[in-house]
Amino acid sequence: MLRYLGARLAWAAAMVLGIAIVAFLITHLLPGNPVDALVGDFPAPPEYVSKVRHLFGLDQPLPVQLWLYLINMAHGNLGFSFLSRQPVLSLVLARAGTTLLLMVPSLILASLIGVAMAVRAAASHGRMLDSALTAVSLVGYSIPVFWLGQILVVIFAVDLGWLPAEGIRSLREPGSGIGAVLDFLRHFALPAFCITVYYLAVVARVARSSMVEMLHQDFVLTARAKGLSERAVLWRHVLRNGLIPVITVIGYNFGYSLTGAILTETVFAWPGLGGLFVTAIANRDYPVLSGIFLLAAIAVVLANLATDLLYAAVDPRVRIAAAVRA
Amino acid sequence: MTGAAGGGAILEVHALHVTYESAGRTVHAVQDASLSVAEGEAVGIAGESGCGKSTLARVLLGLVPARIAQIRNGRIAIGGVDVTGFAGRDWERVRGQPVAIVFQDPLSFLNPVMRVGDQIGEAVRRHDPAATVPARSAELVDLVRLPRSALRRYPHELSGGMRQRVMLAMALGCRPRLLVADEPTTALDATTEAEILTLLRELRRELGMAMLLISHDLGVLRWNCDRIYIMYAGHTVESGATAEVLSHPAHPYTRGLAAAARLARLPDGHFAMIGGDVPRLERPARLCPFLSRCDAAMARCHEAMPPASPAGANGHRARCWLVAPAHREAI
Repeated sequence: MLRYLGARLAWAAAMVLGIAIVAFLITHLLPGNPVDALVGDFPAPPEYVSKVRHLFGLDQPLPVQLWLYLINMAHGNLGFSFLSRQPVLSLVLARAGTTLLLMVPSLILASLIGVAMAVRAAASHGRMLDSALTAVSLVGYSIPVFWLGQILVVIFAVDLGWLPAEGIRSLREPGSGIGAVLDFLRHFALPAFCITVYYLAVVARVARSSMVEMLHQDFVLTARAKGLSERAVLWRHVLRNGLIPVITVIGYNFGYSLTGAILTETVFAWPGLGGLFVTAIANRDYPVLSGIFLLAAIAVVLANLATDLLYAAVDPRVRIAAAVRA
Repeated sequence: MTGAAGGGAILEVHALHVTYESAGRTVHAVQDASLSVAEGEAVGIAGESGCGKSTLARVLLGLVPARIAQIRNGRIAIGGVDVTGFAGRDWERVRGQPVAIVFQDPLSFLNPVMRVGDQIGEAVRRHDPAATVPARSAELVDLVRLPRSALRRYPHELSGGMRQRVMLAMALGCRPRLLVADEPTTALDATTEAEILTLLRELRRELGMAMLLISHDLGVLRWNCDRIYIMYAGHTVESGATAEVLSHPAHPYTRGLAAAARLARLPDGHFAMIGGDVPRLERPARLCPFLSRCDAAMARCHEAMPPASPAGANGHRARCWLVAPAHREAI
């Protein structure tokens, strides 16, 4: 198991390095010139342009720029934003925290409710409840998040006035202690709902078909033949086996925890990575873009690593296969 | 056809007719099956694959979903309780205790992600609330001659024979009065098969429980059952003391089965076998279901279904016009 873990970690590190290089190159292949964006939309003297290019190292050949980027990255330095002149790392990390604050609880909620729904649906396979739950998850899966977000804003913020339309806290009366938490939750509710609905649908669809398949396995017959209640059969025998493919989907979802909320964040003006990302694209802010790509890639790699380990924890057969391979 | 045993019958099945839906078709898997098992008795059911043996075994404990299988007629009683009309949670009253079941393929019938000890412990906790689970589980693996370390293993880490012992330990953990064994050794190699059958015999002697052993292998049944039922196309066609039925088979189907089991070489050098196939079961038979393959068929067979009639000593009965009183009178 330890050798397996080591091999997985080494593989993850190699992936991150490769992604860093690709992310660096992709942003440089994007159309548009950062100097134009920096200098502004007026005819600047060529001396000024070349001075700016030199300041940011843009006059160096591409391999040299890449090499410098990797050396700096190893020191935790992802460069400085062309736009705000702030260090990319702290800029991105600060925004990433806000994004995670929205995404992680939503993803956990979506995973738990999605699996619970799937078990209930599988238990009433082919009956009303099953069809209803399937329909709900199909709708949740199909609704575009920007549309749902705006509808929610219209209903709950504009018409009913129950919840704020945007932001993460009230600017006029942020409150303190419990009041601040409640204020946060009021802002959190609508965007979190949008994200939860989508990922819940994704999880529920996969989990339901997996649970239905497990219900027809022979070992379920054995569990019933022992005299176990249907409840015990479902939650103890079917669920644990049915979870194995669902873990892949949930892990995959968590891999998108940094970049999966860009649209939602835009609709609700949630001050996360989404806004930074959109601004960085609009301004050809290469260092910030590379930083976001890199962080998002690390999130995916970490999520995959966690998925692999979770797999081994849930399915003893994977453990054996891994030990043999490692 | 009721069994020889009087008094305490742990299982009684009378004129059972079961259909199930398969790919939009109705299959009359069991059409007219009657059998009984007395407390402590070992009873066998023999027949080719597809004759309804396994369906019968599963219907006994309500293990075929009601949406799929339906009892059209007849009666099942377990320990004197009529379970024919059972639905949903009712079945939990008979499953495991008083009737436990072991299945054919011990790998697919064990939960792959649960330790053996947990799967056995579950049965103990459900049916033996007074027992300390770890102690009783250890006792159970001793009973089926498994090392105690097996409790910490997962099913895929064990051999086929060990898995079947786990299935047995789990069934015994329910403290059943009747053990239904549905082709328990079919998936095992010959040596392991012999070990498991020996173990079954010893366990029955130690625990005094009744057994319903289902097999297509007459050799297996001959050495392990007091009485035997021969099943064909959903009908119990012959029954009686095992030695009597197998040495003096009355029904032409049983004769064919016995000959095939002995791999008897015919004078022309071929192996004995029954020609033709088990009939399709899309509608219930009005005549003897074996008619199309029978080489002893006579005019009478084309007129009506033969009744179960005495065919020899020790409660030997067969459902065939050859032994029916009406036929004897005619001769």
